[in-house]
Amino acid sequence: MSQITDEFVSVGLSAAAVEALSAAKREPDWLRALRLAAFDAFEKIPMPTLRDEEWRRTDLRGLRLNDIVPYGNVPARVTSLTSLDVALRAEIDAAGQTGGVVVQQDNGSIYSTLNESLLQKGVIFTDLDTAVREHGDLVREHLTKNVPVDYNKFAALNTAFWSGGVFLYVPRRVDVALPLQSLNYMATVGVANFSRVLIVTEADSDVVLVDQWLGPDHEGQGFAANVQEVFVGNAARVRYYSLQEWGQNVWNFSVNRTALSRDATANSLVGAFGGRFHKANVESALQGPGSTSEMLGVLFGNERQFFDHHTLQDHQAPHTSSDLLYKGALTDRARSVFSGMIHARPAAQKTDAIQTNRNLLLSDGARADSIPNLEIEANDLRCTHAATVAPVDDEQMFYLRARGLSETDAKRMIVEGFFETVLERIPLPGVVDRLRAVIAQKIT
Amino acid sequence: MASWVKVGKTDEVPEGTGKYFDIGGEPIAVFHSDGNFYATSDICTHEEASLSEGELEGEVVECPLHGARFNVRTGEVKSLPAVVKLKTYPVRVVDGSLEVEV
Repeated sequence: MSQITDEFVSVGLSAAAVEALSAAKREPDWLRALRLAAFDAFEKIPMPTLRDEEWRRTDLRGLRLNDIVPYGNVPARVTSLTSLDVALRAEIDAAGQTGGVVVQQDNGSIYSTLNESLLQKGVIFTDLDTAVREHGDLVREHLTKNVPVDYNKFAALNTAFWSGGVFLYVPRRVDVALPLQSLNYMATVGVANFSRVLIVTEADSDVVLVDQWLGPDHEGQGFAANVQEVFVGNAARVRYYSLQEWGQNVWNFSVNRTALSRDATANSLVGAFGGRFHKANVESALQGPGSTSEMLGVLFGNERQFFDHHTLQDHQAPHTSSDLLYKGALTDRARSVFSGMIHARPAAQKTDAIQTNRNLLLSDGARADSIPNLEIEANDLRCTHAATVAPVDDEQMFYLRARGLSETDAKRMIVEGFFETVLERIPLPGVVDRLRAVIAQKIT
Repeated sequence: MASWVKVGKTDEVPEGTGKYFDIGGEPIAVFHSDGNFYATSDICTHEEASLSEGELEGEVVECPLHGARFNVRTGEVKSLPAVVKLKTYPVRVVDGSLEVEV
């Protein structure tokens, strides 16, 4: 367990805390200046309210910003698996064979490995703090170029206080055959998690990163504001999966944006299962002609959880395609909001975009809001959207029960069947097994 | 297990108005109508809007978003677009302080 530094507890979220953090990390001037500019943006951007269009169904009044401790002492780096928390070791085991692992605990990286063969090929996979020291120019070239400092209040906060994080760089034509694993572990009560992921891939490369966010249930408010910036080079392929399994009282704010170059392919998955409040902005910017983005989402809410996914398929160039499929199941008094936008800019002729959001309500108190949007500025393209919110189908239940299944088993089958159309698009058996296990655990 | 929670002083909720309180994660609105205090869930049962920001006329509050109306004493729906009854909570005044049973 790490101790919370007195200095950071007393100053809370302040420019002084940003200065202290940057100094403690001995960062270059450019990064210190970036953090301060971000904190300035954080202070200037007003807290969203129910009157702001993007937040009109998202109640932030229960969030206590003043309770956030931005940084706590980081446990020492370890070199052997046995020194890691049991929960982390279990995750590494479950992942099977990987090309490398980066583990963050609270505010810093404590363990990282990368296969020798990948190192030889010039792949960089480490925490962002280390990358700033060892590959500063590369980081500086890309950091905040995809998610600008003032994207929203929480992205600004992350840019000011990010710590630990992940940096992944894949050179031209390198195919990282085995998936890479990132673990982000919220171990200490009250200390915020500000992970930042930066992925830069050169032309014709291929890589998969599975990013798991986890932590035990704690009393008291937990807070995470994280940002992921993904750059996919010409004809490169990136698969980035994030699985949110925070403890029960965590407020999570994520911004994830992928920029695709010519003929690039991006596959993303957002899995949301933990926390008290989860807001995620997930965007694909199809900047290069011929690029393709597949965006999958799976969520399951129970008790009083709240999930808000705000997605964007931004078609900027001709001959691009995107396919978004987000599915959510809700029970007890859980709530979700989905707001998806397909934006086809004037140059985006021959766009082929699909957006589908399906929600399954398993109780009377559950509620899902689904709002699809289209903004079309080109005139030769195809854009489709579909949104459904429905309870379990009575006829389906009757069919299964008439064949001898109990109500619980019948419900389980229907829920599993519901998510199957997303799961069958995930080519990583380990991830699919994990999703099935989490889903099964939430069905009562 | 319900318990009484002190939320503030009675003069924080002037006559004819409502105020939002967060009680253990539950959004609750306390209204002051005709000398009495009433507490209900703060979220309209139609859409995600804050009833404490709505207009209170006598015992009836109107949601600021789409105009649904509720009786704050009983939780009954008085007009569309709401159809589901609003949850109410017992309120008492103890030594000038408001207490809500949640």
